[in-house]
Amino acid sequence: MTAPTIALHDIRHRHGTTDALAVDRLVLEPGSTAVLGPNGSGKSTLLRLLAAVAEGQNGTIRIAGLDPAEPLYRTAIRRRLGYVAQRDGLPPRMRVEAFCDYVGALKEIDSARLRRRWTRWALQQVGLLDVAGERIGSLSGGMQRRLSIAQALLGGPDLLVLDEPLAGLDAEQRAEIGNLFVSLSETATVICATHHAEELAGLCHRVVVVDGGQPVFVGTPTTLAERAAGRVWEADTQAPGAVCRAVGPGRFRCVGDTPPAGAVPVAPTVADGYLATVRPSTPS
Amino acid sequence: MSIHELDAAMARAAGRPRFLAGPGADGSTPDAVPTERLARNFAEIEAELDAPAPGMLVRILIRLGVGEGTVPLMTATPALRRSFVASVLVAVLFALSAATNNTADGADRIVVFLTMAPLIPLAGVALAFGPKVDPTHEVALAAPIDGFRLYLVRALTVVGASTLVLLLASLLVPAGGAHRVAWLLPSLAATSLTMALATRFDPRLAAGGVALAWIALVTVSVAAADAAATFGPTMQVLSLFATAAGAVGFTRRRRRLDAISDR
Repeated sequence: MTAPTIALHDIRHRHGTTDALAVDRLVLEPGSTAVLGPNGSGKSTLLRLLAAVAEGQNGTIRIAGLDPAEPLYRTAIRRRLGYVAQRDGLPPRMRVEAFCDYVGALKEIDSARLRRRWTRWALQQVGLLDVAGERIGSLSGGMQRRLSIAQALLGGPDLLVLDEPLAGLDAEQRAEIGNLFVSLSETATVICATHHAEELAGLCHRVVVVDGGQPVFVGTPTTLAERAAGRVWEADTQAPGAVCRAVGPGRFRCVGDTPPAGAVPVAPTVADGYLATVRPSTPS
Repeated sequence: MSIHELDAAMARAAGRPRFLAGPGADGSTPDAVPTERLARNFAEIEAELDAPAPGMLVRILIRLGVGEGTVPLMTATPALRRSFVASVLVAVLFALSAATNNTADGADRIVVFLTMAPLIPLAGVALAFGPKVDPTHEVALAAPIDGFRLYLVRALTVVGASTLVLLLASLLVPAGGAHRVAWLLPSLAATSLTMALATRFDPRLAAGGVALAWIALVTVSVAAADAAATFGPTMQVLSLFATAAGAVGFTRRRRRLDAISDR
């Protein structure tokens, strides 16, 4: 079975009276996709729709050619799905192994022995096998996030939808999880919303940038970086109208249209391309 | 035939390397040592040996014939926390105390118990499912398990546990005879109606509404007639109908339990 392709057409999704998401057309092929965007831009809404966790209000969604609005198809999609929600959703009093066992049962793995094997495998993937007997509430935030990833891996899904999987992880853990995603995306469709443009989006086959509830960029990380070509520099001062971040004491890396005197042009990265996309420079 | 000879023969037949390390019976050395496979097998054996012994509740459920795939769903029911179990016991003790200390005649003494008893399983059902009480709600939504089945399993778990406690408590009520279990059908009706309403509203809100309606019904009925009549055959028949109506409503709207609705 090949990993699923996801297609969205004419999606208009509202939360109360607010437009949360508007997608004319978006097709996500097998492989890895990073969804970047500012807070409140509609990333989580998009991921919930892709995971068939939220009901679509209008438009069409097809996951592996199936319509998630149809109950039977939705179940079929969920049999292939691993999902990490934005909030961990972990019961603090439950033990790590018992929680994975419970999620295994939710995933219709009826044999206790099989669930145990999947649990050990998933915990090993995220480096939590040593704390299998601990209560979830006693784990650090990073460990809890990795446990959320582990539960998504149970059953070997070929569609992984992960909302902020790197949140709360330290640099080493982010690198390990990044490697895991690269490995998983060889055989699965992996979609993750992230704020880590370089660490995760740079590893993905494609990037979707969502801003104001709409996808404003769909392409490869290289193409996204190229969007900032000729508009990135390092200087000792922040330039008005540019998006600048400190890269050292008294040193700034800026994305904008008008570099100040003495600025040194630098090669753009995925993060620069992202900043150039969601924060366009002020029209002159 | 030794195991090495068997391995060599099977390897030849299948055209694969031999699995077993060390020289064979004929003194030949193995074609290959599949260390990866051996390591995996040992890891699995280790995992089985290290597997934690199932707790008492799990052992009881398995003895009762509950399937391996259902046991974790029951034991992970949010309402089965110690705090809820403690609350059930306190509520039952309070109801029993009211029933035994009242100075009125026997029939009136058990009104408090009969009124309170259906509310206890109801509270459990309210805390068994939903995004506000279950931290794993969204994880469960993304899983293939039917939301209807999950809610049903959890509701039956809490209703079963609390009903058992209440039945035992009923035996301690000093008066009333068979009347002491007249809470049973109203309890089922309240639970069933709550589950039906929970397909549309937050389960806690649904349970609160049903509880208020039940208390109002009993209050009005007791004021108009005596306690025996309140929990008499009419109430029991009405409860049966309400149970059936709730079950039909819950089943018909079951799909609403399978997704987050922003509407």
